[in-house]
Amino acid sequence: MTANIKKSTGYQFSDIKKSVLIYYIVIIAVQVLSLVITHTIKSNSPVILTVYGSSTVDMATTIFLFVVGLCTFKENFGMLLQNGFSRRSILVGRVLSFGAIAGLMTIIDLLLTLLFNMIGNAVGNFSVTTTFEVIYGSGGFGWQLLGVLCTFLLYLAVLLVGYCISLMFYRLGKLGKVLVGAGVPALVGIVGPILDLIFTGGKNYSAIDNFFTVIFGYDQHQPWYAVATLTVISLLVSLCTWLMLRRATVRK
Amino acid sequence: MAIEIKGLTKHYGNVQALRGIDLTLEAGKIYGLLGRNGAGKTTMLNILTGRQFATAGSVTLDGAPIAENDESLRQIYMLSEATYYPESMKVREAFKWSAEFYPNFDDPYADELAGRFGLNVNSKVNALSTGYNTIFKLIIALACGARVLLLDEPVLGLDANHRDLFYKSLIECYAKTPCCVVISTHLVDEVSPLVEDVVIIHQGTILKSLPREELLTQGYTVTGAAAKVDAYITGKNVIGTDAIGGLKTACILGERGEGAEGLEFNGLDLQRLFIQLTND
Amino acid sequence: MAGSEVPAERIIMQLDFSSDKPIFLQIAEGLEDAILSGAFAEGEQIPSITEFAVTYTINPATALKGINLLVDQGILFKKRGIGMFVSENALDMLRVKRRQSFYETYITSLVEEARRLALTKEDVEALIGQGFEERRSNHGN
Repeated sequence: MTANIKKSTGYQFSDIKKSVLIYYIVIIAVQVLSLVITHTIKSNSPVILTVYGSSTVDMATTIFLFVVGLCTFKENFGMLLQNGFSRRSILVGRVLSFGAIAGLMTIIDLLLTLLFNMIGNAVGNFSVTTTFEVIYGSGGFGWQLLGVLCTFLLYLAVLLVGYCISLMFYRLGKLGKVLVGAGVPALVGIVGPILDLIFTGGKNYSAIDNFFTVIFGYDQHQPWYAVATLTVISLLVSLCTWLMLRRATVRK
Repeated sequence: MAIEIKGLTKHYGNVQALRGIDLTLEAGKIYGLLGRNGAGKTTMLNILTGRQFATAGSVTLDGAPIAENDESLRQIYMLSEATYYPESMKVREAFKWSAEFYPNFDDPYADELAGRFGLNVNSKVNALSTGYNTIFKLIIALACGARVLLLDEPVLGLDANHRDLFYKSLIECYAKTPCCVVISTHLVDEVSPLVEDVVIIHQGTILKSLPREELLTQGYTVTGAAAKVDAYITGKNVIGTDAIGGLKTACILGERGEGAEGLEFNGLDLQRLFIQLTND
Repeated sequence: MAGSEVPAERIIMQLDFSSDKPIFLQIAEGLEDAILSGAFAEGEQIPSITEFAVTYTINPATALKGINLLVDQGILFKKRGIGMFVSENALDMLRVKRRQSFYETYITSLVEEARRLALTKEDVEALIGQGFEERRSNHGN
């Protein structure tokens, strides 16, 4: 690893550090609060009440990381160009720093899940689990490791997708921004399904739905499909990002 | 050490911002880059630092292409009008990162300069006034130890005292380690004594690129009775005239000739020469 | 003495950046004036190039050019690694040099202006005499 890539990675990692810290403070506070509420309801209730709750930390993290991906392009790009980094060093550093963040948060989330689960079980029927287990079911140690891998790849993929989208908006002109920003969701979310419903009875959309089920291995409970799919997504998105970043220029 | 620019062209759609620029910038020289608004100064500097891409032409540092080359890019520091430091970053943190990025960054010197200019290092970048924003970037430029300093409007928003302080600090820094400095500014008079070479860029081309003293010998004014002045200037390269009553002043490009009876000859200072050369 | 650097401000020099005269010539002449007026004694060290450049916010190369002009004439001399010094016979050399240019610098323009103002040779001579008188009564010399 050249010194420049190391510096680029270090800067871009440290840039996210603070928001990650704040995120975990909020997550822990929310979990503690919900445990306290669960416990209070249970002990104050005149009737014996079974309080059942379930939550996952990793879904929240996934959304958080997507937003992080969306927010980290512009300032970093300007700052690093100002300080003599090539676009190649910027991107390599970006991907590596995303990898570090994804890895770190996978481990923290796993530990938090175990911890909350332990406390939750102690104070009530409150279980905290992982999305991986919800989808693919639980299993032994090897299965757990596979879950960690899947979570890591998911985090990395959403970071990269968020980054790629913000870069796309950066590259697009004003009109393009509006068209893509409003047009794509409207087309995919509203116009598409309606047309699909009218003309093919919703066949295309259910096919797409099917497709996702298959590539993530939901129906077969096969996480390796998800591993492969997420890896391919990360690679493709990184490639798209590079193609857009190559010719990206500074803007005020 | 030298930056070489060859046949540099930049189009924005139909607009030709740069039309074939050839220029060499050497170490151990302070250049004044002069040009009117929209002449192409910033575009050229942005391409030099890989922030924008040329349509055609090449830019090299010591023979190696600059664009997308970390080694070359790190040798150049460009101060631009736009601020590319994160808005919520503190001045102190920006210094810290600069030291991380530039191996020769002089921390104590940066602190000393901050003290001289009265820049609060605990302030966030977006909380700085226009003047202090410029000062903040100037301090990094002076302390970073890069071999090439490209200063685009380095005195934007600075009061007269701070401008003087900047000029003095720049010379001090330059005398310590002679680098290549390019100052692009509209305050021609102020930078004139600082620069060794003058580069005038006009409508995307290099109009002049030569030592300041030499450039100043290329023009002169002749003043006197209108009829006499008119007689004198026929056949000469007149770039501008002024008349008050019967008194006329003409600016002429070319070697100053022998004095004529009843006419007064004067040199042109850089600002007046610049105005005359770049008047459309 | 080496080490005890002389601040450039000690030479009260007015540089006119908009003047016709190149800055390096102005630097050289300013230094000559400073030596003639005794601001720098023979054998004394003068400020470094950097100090000149910083004080007057001029390019160091310009300051060097001006000082080298005087080095070439033997009015200043370099001590390697220490700095620039005023030569022992600098005053004499400067007086000889300035006397040579006195006619061109002052007399020619004096006569030119006198003609424009229709002053006769006698008028001018009288005025010169008056000038010496006033100087003597003001300065007791």
